[in-house]
Amino acid sequence: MNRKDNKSNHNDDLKGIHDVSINLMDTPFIVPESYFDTLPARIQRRINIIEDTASSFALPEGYFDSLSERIQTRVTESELENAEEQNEDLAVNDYSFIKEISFINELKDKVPTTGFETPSNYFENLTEKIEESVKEQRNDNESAVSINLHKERKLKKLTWMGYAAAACIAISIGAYAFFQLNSVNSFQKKLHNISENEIVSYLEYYTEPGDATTILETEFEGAVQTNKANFSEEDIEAYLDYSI
Amino acid sequence: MEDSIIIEKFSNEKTRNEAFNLLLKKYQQRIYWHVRRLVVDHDDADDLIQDIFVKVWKNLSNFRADAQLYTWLYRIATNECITFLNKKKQYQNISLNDDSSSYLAETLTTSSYFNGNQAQLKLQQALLTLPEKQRLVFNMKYFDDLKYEEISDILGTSVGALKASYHLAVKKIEQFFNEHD
Repeated sequence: MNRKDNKSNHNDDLKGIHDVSINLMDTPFIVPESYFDTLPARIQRRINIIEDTASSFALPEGYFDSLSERIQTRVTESELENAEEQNEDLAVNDYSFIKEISFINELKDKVPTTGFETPSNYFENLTEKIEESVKEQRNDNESAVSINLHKERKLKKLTWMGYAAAACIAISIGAYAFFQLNSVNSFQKKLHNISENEIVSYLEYYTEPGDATTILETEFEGAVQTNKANFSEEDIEAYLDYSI
Repeated sequence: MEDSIIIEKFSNEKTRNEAFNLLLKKYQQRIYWHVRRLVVDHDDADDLIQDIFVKVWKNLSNFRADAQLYTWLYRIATNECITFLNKKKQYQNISLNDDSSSYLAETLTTSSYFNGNQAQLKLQQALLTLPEKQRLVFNMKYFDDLKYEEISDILGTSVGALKASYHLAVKKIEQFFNEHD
């Protein structure tokens, strides 16, 4: 093998290494078909799930403010239930309850009432005052009921008046239209009933000199218009070529 | 006069006013004091007691005889008071989550219709530090001598929970008294 061949082989080797290195730069991993097409939708779905889960665990406002109090109540309740289940006489056996009862008894001796007062003769007049309030309320209700009834009647009356007015307007418009149509019809009917001979004889008898001019003018205009419509532009041009 | 007789008379149009008068005479003071202990101020209690009995008048014909009349009255009164106190809290810009009744403390000291001694004042002050429910339960047990079962009917809370509330209320009041001796 000569030197030239060696160089050529070396170049081939290098090319092979280059191809391999290019292939190595590509990841050998593959993804399912259309993986990246559906990826955004799947990420969004996951975000929605996380958000929904977070909102489902939302707490009422001020939940933790009263939590310790509620737990304390529940614990005490549970202790009381357990003690009752064991048939213990709470007042006798449990030291804390004995203490509690003795404190309450002492307190009741010291503070049997609240210390609140009322104005003098307050309770003597209270019955009357409450009955007066009830009476006022009843009157308000009754007047509200009577106002409602009055309003209802007024509304019914107004409704009927509205219907009547609408009916009047409809009848007026109908009558007007009927007479208008009838009068046009009657004119056309009368015209239709006159025979052509009668019209001709009428015109012959009553025609004035001015009428002839008017008729001729109208006829001539009509004739020109009719002719215009019948000739094509080519005919007119041919006629003009011929005649000029 | 038996409650059943009052209810029966009330159901008759002719004897309705008489029945209501009997009901007022029998229960107005008891309900007034229940309301007064909750709202503290006499004028507020006076307004509320009238509203409560107007409601009673409107709804007594629907009252079911399987319940006790006075527990029904207490329930109406309690609900009216809680609604009133919540409105008052809102008016004074106090969060509804603030469970204590300390905003009523000023009413207590400035009220012209409070003439309690030191111990009475201290008990009321201690009560105003309690959460509303504990204050309610304590008042009904301590001042009205109601049984837990009766309070349960009024508040719609289990007897166990009421016992716990009362127990905690007593502990806190005792602590308050010890701290303010």
